[in-house]
Amino acid sequence: MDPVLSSPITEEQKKKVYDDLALAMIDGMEQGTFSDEESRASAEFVLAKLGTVKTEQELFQFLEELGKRWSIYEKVLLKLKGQKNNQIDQVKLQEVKNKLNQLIQ
Amino acid sequence: MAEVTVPRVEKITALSYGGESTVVVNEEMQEYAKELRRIAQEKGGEETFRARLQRREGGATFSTRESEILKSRSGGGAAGVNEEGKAFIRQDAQPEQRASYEENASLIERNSRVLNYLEILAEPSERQQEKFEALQKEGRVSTDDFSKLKEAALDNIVTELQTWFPMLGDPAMEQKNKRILVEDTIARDPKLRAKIAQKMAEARDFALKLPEVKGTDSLKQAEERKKAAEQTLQQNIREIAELLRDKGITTLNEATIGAILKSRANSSDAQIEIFRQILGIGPEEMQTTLTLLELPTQIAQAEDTLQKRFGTMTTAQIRLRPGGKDALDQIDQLKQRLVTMSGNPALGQHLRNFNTVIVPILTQGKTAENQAGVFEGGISSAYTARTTIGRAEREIAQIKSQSPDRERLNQQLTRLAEEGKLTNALESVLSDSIAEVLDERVVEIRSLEQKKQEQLMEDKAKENKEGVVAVMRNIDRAMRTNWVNYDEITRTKTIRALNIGNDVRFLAYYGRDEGLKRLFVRHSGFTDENGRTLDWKHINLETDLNADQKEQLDEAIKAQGETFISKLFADFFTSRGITDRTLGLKIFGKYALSYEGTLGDMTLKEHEWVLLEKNFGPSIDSALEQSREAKQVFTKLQKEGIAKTFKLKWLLWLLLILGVVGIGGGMLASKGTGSLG
Repeated sequence: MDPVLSSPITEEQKKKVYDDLALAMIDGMEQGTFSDEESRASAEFVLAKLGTVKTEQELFQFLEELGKRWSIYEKVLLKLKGQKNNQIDQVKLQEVKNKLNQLIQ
Repeated sequence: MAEVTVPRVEKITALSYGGESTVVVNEEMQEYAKELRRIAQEKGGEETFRARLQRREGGATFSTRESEILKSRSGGGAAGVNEEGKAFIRQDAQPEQRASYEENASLIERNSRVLNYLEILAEPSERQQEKFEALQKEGRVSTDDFSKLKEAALDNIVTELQTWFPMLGDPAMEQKNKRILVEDTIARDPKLRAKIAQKMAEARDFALKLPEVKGTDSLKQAEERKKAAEQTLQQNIREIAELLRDKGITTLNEATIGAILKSRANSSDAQIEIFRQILGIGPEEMQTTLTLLELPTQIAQAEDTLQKRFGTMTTAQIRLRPGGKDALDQIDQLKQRLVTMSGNPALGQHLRNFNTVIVPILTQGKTAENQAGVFEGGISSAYTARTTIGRAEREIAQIKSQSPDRERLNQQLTRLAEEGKLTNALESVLSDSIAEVLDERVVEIRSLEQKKQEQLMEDKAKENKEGVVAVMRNIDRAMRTNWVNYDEITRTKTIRALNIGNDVRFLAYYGRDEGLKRLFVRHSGFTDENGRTLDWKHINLETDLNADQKEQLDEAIKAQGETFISKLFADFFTSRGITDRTLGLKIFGKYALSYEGTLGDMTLKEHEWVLLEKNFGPSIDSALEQSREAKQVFTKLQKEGIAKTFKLKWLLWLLLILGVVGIGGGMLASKGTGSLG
């Protein structure tokens, strides 16, 4: 398992996800691409599942499932994946730097 | 109001019903989105989702808070709601009124119980007890035990669901297992709650428009008049008692004043009795005191009359006029009486007491506008209220004693007949809601499958496999027309019961592989080398098909086999749910329904079920393994020590393919879930 993905998520991270998802829902409702019933069903799903998510891996699984059911939420997953990739790149870059430093020394 | 094209499930559903392809997004929705944005900014995303859940479903809906009002609309006009907000049927209600009330009240209880439970279930598990307690505080649930409410509600759903899934009636399956199955499947479908609420709202609206029974209105009005007057009387008594207390009189409390007002014929007598008791004297002494009090007034009046009659004449002149002597003598007598009485020491004391104790009471609150003051005004108002109470009581007794006249009887019968319609509506709330949820889910799933099929055919066409595409097109058409056919032009849905029953039986006897091959050959359009249609039941599948046909058959089965089986069984079970009673359901108002064959054509013998188990058991296992939700249900059941019986698995698979496993119809987007591989 990817050590980055298996790390526990903080309440702050979770709150950010709630916020992003809520804005996605509201955007959909305003644009008319998300019906009354869809917004209700998805709200039910988000509240039932996101509260139980503990690790980043679970968070990604949850967002993937959510995006499959209601595509308006896909952008939240994409955004998070982008951030995660940047984070992983940074970690790898640091590793490379460390190795280079070791070689130099 | 803006019209927005919605390229999602609603559109597909609407189209499949032959409806419009646009969804109207109204200003209310836009406004609500703004409101949610405000909540998101102020309280964050989680609270925004909670706010969204708490909002009533769009349009007319029903809250179980309205249950008691709804109950009070049954009973042929003999029911009402008491001060605590609870519905009741009058003691003197006739048997048919009582029967109508009790039947509808029981159905309302049942439907409200299910609705309450589904409302609780929609909450995350850690908040369910809290939600239950909130409903309890509002008086919406009668039990103080959540598990009892849950069991009763689930039992109600299980009973209704048996129409579609007879295996739920299997006595070998324990009730608690059935409950678990229902709880984790259809009960979690938000559509179900919305449908029940919507149908209860319709029942409520119907109930509110029920024709009134005139006689009962008069009774109600008389009872209301009586109640209002009783409140006024009590208020007057309180005010009089308060006035006396303010003046230092503690011997007369509210009960005594009430008794006086009740026993005396008029307000004047009541006032005198109150004064007598305050002064603490006997009735005769009171009378004498009053006489003494009135003497100066009488003298003044007599002198006034004399003056008007005789003008400026002297006493001597008056005596000479006719009647003059009598008038003068009367005044003398009155004056003499005043002198004599005033000389009586006891009477003098009473008079003084009257002036010091009673007069301040009588003058309290007297103004130019309010000549009566607090005391006399209160007594007068109390007597008016007493008269009103008496009249209302006589009216109530009269209404209750008279046998209903013909007109009233007719009104009552009309009302009861209409209440019978309400009974039917209330009775079918659960079954209609389940039927609609299943029906809509089937349409949604089928629409998605249809798209998938088209994509598969396009892929094969790109590979230049025209032969395979031709077979697939034929199979696709067969799936849409052979068992349940929906004609979009005439909006007619035809249930081909005999075809469905025959194909299910065929698969039971021939098994999945051979059965599918033969059924596919039937629709493939394959011919032998002489151009004759192949005898799909009897051909040798190894030797009677050429190499191309074998390849086309294999590819078509690979692409469409699982969909074919899923659709056949979904049509089989949903069509079995269409009974004489459900034929009248509202959903079928969306399209005409015809039936080829009978329900009996779809009945399987016990050994045919056994064959189905043998031939499809492993496939169902595999399909259920692919579904996370299905596995969760099984894990729960296993914790209860329940074996995965075939019927249980079969039932769960059916719910899975109908898209009612998981929250919000998770089947819609989870590819492959529930398919028989």
